[in-house]
Formats: sequence, C-alpha cells, structure tokens
Amino acid sequence: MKVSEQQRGDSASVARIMAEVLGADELKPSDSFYDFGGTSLQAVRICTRVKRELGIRVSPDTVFDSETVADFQAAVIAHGEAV
Amino acid sequence: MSRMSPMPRTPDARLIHEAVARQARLRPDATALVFAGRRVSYRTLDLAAEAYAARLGRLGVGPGRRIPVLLPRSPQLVAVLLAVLKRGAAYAALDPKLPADRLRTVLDMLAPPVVVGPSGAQGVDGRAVWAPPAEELSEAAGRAPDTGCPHDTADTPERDGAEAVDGAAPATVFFTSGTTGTPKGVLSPHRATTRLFGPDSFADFGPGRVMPQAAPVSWDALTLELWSMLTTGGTVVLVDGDYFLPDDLAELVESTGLDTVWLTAALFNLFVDEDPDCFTGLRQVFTGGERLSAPHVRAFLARHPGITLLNGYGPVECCVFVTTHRIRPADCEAEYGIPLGTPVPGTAIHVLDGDTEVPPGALGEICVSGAGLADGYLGNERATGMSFTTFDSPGTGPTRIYRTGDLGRLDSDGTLHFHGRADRQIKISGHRVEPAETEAAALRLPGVRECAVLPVAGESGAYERLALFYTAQPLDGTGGTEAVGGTAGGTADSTADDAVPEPDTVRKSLAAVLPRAQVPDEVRRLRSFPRTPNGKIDTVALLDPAGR
Repeated sequence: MKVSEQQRGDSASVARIMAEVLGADELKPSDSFYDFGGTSLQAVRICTRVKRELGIRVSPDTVFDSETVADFQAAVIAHGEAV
Repeated sequence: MSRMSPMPRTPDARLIHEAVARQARLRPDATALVFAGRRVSYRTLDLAAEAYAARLGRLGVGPGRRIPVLLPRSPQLVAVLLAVLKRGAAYAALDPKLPADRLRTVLDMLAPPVVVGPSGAQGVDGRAVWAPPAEELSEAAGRAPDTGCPHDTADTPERDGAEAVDGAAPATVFFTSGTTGTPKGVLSPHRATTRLFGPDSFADFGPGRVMPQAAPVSWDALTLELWSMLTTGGTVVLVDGDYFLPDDLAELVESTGLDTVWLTAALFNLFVDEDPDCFTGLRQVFTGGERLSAPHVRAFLARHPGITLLNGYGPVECCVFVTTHRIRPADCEAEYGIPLGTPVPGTAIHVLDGDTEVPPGALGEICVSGAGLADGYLGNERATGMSFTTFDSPGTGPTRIYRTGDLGRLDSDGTLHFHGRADRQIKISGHRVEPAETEAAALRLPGVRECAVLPVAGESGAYERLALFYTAQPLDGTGGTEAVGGTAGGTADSTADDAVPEPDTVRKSLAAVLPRAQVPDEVRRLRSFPRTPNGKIDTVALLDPAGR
C-alpha cells in the first residue's frame, strides 16, 4: 500500500521522532544522524516509533543510508511501506 | 565456594550434528527452519547437509580444520554449518559485511583449506572459495550421497561422510575483540554447546518450541538460537535482514507460533520501552549480556506475569551461558541487581580470591569449570594461559577453569550475584574504589534507570575522580521532552518531570550513602547510552569530550 497524503503531511513528525530518540532539542533538515552519535539501537528505536506513530514501515538501514534528516524524511515517504 | 550441576546423561547427543540427525530420524517431517514464510523439514535439512558435507570433504574439510562461512542468514547457512560439523571440522560463522582487513586477519588465523562464501568477496583474495549453488535446500537434499531410506528408522547409524569425532572436538570459533585490537578466536568444542540443551536444560526446549535466529551470526547467541532448537526438535525462524524490531517479534508470534526469544539486555529494554505488548503470546524470554535494568524487568513482569523471564550470564569463552536465573518481581529490589542464578548443566562456578576459594557470601572473581570451557584462543597461547588456568579444588583436585574477570558472590542458596568487573577496581587518592558499588547505589535511587560510573584520569594519568552517567526517562515514555545534559550544580531543568532526578540531586543522594571517594564528582544525565556494536555501554564514547 502506498503512503497516503495524510501520512505525507506527517513528515515533520519524522524529524521530531529522530530528535526525541537522539536526545536533541530540535533537528534541522541538514543535521546528520551520525553527528548525534546515533547507534543501531537508536535507529531501531526511530523505526519502531515511525511505524507506531505514522504507520509507515521503514528499515533501520534507511536511517544509516540517509546523509541528513531531510534525506531520511524523503526516504520514509518514498520507500516506506504503509501498514 | 563452588556450585556444581551434574553432567547431562545423554552421551549420544554430545555432538551437535548427531543430535540434529537424531531429530531428523525421529521426526523427519517436523519443521526445522522457517525462512521468508517457507518451511524446511528436518529430513530436508539433514539431507542437504549430507550433500554439502560430501562436497566439502572433496575440498579438504575434515577433523582439525576450521572453516570460515560467509553466508547471509538463510537455510543454506544452517545446512552448511551442519555440513562442516559432519566433516568433523569446526565452523566460524562470519559476518558477511566484515571489513576486508578484519576478514584477512581472521582468515589468516583460521588458515582454512577453503572459504565458504560468495566468490570474489573482498578480503578472500588468493584463497580457495566454495560458493554453494543458489538453490532451495530440497534440491541439495536430492544430491545426498546415500540412496537408502535411513530416516525411516530411529536407530540407523550415521552414514559415510560423517567423521568420527567426540564431544571434545572443536565445533565453532567465535571471534571476540581483544584488548590489544587483534581479535581473539575462541575455539569451542561440541560439548560446550550440547551440554546446554539436554533433558536437564535451564529452559524448556524440544518439539513445539519455536525461536527466532535474529542475532548476528558471528555471536555465540547463534549457538543458543540455532542449536537449542535443532538439537531438541524445535523450530528456528530465520529472521530476514539485519534488524529485529518489536513489530517483527509480534508478527512472528502470530504467523509462526514463535514462543521463545533471546534479546540482549539493551534490546530487551528497547522492546519494553517501545512496545511492551510485543511479547504477548511468548512462553519464555532469555535476556542478559550485561547488567539488567530493574525498571525494565519490573515493567515486563508486571505486564507479562505468565512469561518465564531468564537472566542468562556467560562469557563467550564458556559458550552462551554458565548460569541462568528465573527472574521474580522480588529480584528487582535486590541490592546488587538481578541475580545471575545457578549453573547450567555440566558447569561449575568457583568464586576465587587469587587461587583460593572464598567462603559463601564473600566477594571474589567468578571462575568457571566444566564442559562449557573453550579450548582457548586460536594461536594465542599467552592470552589462553592468562585466562584459562588450573584451580586446585579441595574437593575434586586440579580443575581447569576460565577466569571471567567478573566479580561475584555465591549466596547460601548457591545463587550467583554480579558485582562488577574485577579490573574496574581503582584507587583514588589512596582509596580503593569499585565503580560498580557506586552504580549499585545510584540504581537504588528513585527514577534512575540505567547508569555507568567511570574513572576519569587527571593530567598525571592517574584516576582523579568518578563520572556518573545515567538515564532517567520514565518507563511510560511521557518524559521524552526534558532537556538533557544538565550537570551537577547547573541550572535546574524547569520542564523536567518531578519523578526525574536532577544530576545535583543524584550526587547529593549518593554523598549521603557512600564514602567520599566513591561519590562521583561529575554527574550527567543522558537521553540514552552510546552502545558498542554488540550492544554494551560504550565507555570510550562516554568519556570522549567530543561526544558529550
């Protein structure tokens, strides 16, 4: 199933979830997961929350493969599988 | 004081592959493996392993050899591992994504006649490589060398292709990081694995049990996940991909009848935080690998009183576990944390001060004897000699032991308790300081969930002070918005929940209960701990100023 328009509108939530998990007050679109010392466990946590809050399933590999927060947001919309 | 369990009385099951073949004879149509929704029977698995063993035999695989296997998690990986064992050799299941330099080092140590993996893999250059054909195991099973119907009766002897070895023969090589930066290869015999899963095992194994294989294949967790099931007639669900999420667990319970799972302490905490209901439907959960978090364990037990939760303790040198403890709610209040428990079969625990056993209840180094011990570190006699020594037991005479470097205490019931690492004990201004003691005190403060205490060196290089790092997020997750990084003496965080202790409060509370030298000078609250690749708290990253 494709990602819906409403879920698309939630993409700002992706940055909020990443910020929560990484312990940052706020993340800019140009910020990188790695600059915050992100670990694989945190990537798992991010994907678990993205699935639960936004209903989009995405692999933790997507977190690692994304250079920036904006890249990850785009990847969630492009490759995520709505469930 | 020593604690001993009897050796398992199943001589026919001392070899991993014989135990699996026996299950194939007893219940050939039972499901051994589930992968990507497809099922592989015990008959198919064992016959495919026979076929691969015949091929490996022609490539020089035999007793005394150590065979690297670089295959992704799949039924074929399992069949190849069994095939290596059937040839009387030991396997080293390696991460297919191992960096090329590291792989070269590991291959040099193994000195194998052949590498099993994709041809052209980086770092394999110049070595003989066998890439198994891309096929279903049923195709491989059709090539098994014997044309008879040996699986129809339970008493058929092993066929050709299998080499005669005994339980002392090496079965697996686990690579672990060495303090010097060179990996250490732990050579583990068959009996170290099969001791764990006999009729008197520490948990419920056998037909009907279903467990995922989700840990990295190079860990000894593979031994737990794979051979606990396949040597006893259970089913292994091979998890596709590198990650295991709470949703995956819940989905597999639903679709495959999964009822048993191993999660490292870090992953267990994550699952409890993010989706405590994902465990619903399980029969038993094993966790461990580092000190458990009492708040997470408490939350789990409250939510799932019917699920058996085991704390498993054991260094890789002793293969998977040496003690286990069935956790009860009262354990969460124990002064020194959740107990490590009592020995698994074929294993004894000795708490020593130097070479002398300490009285019951006294603190000492946790040492292990019995069938679980590795032969030692591959090609590293110095490290082997330091960690594997002989203890002159008053009861049984000279006994080979592995010195864990962990501090522990055996109580009057014979239950082992963890008291930190022996080598973390330090001196500050002449005072002997054990960081684990400060950690234990901090963990007893309300709202402190996880903590780590590290010594900080001054300009002279000597340790000058203790730094304490902790997390305090409430378990319900509603505390996810508080600022992080406040330090003792800093500005109070006005948005923090009342239940979240401030660094300054933590320091003052500790000063009230600990000798001055054991009170941390620096206290920092973290959102989460940096972790090493195997899920333990990364102390180097914690102390790196750039990372703070």
